Amino acid sequence: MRLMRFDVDNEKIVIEKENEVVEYDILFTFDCEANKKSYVGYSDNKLATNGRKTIYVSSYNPLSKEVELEDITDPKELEMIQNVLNKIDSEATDN
Amino acid sequence: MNEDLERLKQELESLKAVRNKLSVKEENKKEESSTDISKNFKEELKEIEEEIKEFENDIKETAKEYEKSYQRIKSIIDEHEEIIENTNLLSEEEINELREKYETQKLEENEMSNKIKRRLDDQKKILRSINRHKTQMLNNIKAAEALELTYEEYKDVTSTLRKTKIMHAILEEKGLLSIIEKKYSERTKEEKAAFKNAKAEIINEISELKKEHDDYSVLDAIEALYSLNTTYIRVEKPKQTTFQLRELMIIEENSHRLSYRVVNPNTKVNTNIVEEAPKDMENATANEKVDINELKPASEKVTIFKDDDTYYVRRYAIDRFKLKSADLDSEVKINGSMCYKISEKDVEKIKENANNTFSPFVADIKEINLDKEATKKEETSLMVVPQEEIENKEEIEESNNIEKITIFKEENDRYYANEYTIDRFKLKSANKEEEIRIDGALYYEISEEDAYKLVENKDNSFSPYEVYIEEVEEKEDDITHDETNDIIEEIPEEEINDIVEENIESDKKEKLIEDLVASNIVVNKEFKKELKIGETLYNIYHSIPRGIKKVYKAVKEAIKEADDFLGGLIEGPIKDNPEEEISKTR
Repeated sequence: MRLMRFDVDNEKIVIEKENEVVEYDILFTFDCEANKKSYVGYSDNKLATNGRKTIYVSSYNPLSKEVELEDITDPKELEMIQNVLNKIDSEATDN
Repeated sequence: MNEDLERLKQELESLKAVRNKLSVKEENKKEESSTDISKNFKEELKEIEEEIKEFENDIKETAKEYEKSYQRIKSIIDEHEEIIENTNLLSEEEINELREKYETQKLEENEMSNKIKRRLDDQKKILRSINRHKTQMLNNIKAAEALELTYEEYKDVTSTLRKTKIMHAILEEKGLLSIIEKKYSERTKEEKAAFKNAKAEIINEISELKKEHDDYSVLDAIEALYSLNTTYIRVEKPKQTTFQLRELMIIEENSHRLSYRVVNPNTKVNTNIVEEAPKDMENATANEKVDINELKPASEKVTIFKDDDTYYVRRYAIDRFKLKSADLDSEVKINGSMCYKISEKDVEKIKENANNTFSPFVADIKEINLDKEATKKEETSLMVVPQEEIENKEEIEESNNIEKITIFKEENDRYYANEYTIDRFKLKSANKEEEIRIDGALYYEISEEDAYKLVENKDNSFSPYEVYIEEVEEKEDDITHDETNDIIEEIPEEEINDIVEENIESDKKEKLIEDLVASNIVVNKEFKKELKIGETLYNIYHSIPRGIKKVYKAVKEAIKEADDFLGGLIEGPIKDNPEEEISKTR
């Protein structure tokens, strides 16, 4: 079975939000073999009231034909995401 | 008949002969006994007489020597006088020399003569003493024979004045003193019988005296010296006693009976260490033992003195809580005690730990004014203790709670104790890497052996405590292993904060990744550049945006739109399976 993947450099996530279509840039993706889930980080590049850019991280089923983003509530998943974010940040900074 | 009569007469004669022989033997025995009585005395007397003869000879020799010395002095004087008569023939110098020589010779001879004289006097003195001894001996022989006592018996009776007085008292009481003057052979049968009874009485009396004397135990006397029972000491005042070496050896050998061992009289070094007091002595002093539990405080009171924003504690508190912030140079006197400055952080630490379960204490903060303290007069040892301190002391003495030690046990027989318990009992098995958090406090794994050691020693007499073993409940909310707790603390449920600002310890994270490990991480190039510039901060959310209805994969939508626009001209793998095409173009 072929896994569904995002092209992080060429693709966008389009979300219909209250009759308004919003495009989100895909910032990063990664997989987890243990729970058979894939994760995607995306952003609309808008600044929040605190002046920060908002990044959403969601999980999805890579085996599903349709993309269905899910909230992340499992602490272990959150910890893993935090680790990935740290790794991305450190690699980007070092390079 | 006559024959029989003759035979009986002969038998009677033979019996008489036998009786006579026996009576003779008895008399001989008595004489022999009498001889034996005086035998030892006579031997001793003989020795004395020989000694007297020797001294008499010595005295004769010394007297001759003294005579010669006298003659020499006389000749020196005569010679000198003769020389003086002829002084006209001699010069003054020669006369002076002769005079000096004469004086020297005379002086030397005089000294010699004096020495001999002194020796002669000493010898005569000793001779007189020996003669007195001889006279005493003769009297003793006479008295022993008169008293019908053996040499040993007589020596024993006359060894002390007390015994001799007993003997004389008994003889006088019975009117037998005059008999002593008579020889044994001159005494009548009645006198002999009376004296025999008196003698038995004297011996009994003296043996009773000896028994009474022997019953006076030296060990008892020594025990009285070391007894903790002061009443006994007051009643039986220790006496000054002198001992023979042999007696001291006996005491030393038997000293295990005493509560204190006796110093070896030979070495004068006590190598025996007292192990325990005799049981009877323990019982005697058991009621006087102080119950430590009664004096042990329930909870200690730690007073923190606050002067404006500066805090001071006594040295005890610094040592007790290992306060690193303590400034020992900042010594001030508060309420007569030396206090030292500590940080506010340490004050908070003391306050927070006051109500712990293992060693609770009362943290009392008192406002003070150091300026007033400084003007106080220097307190002396005669200082009146403040009422407040007395009350505190009373509180401590009245309370009788025992220290509580709690050990947590997991189902897999792993035991955990807090740091205080580990330090308190110096538990070497403590593994600081294996920790659990219970009610917010950290507990470290200890060995099962140490856990049992704690339980076994809880009722000791010097520092008793109670041990509570509690099962670790597997509740993630309040009892968790450290890693689980860290997740809850680091990441809130609703949002993930700035990834750049948050700093999570890598070692803790690695433990968690054992379960969930990320792979195939692909990062947008633009995002990488943005991170590298580092000017942007981020809010991280782990929930999808609000109000979302549909999520499209952008590339799919684009292909669909293009296909619609072209009227279904797109065919092949891109239309049927756009993902495959995407992977090709990547």
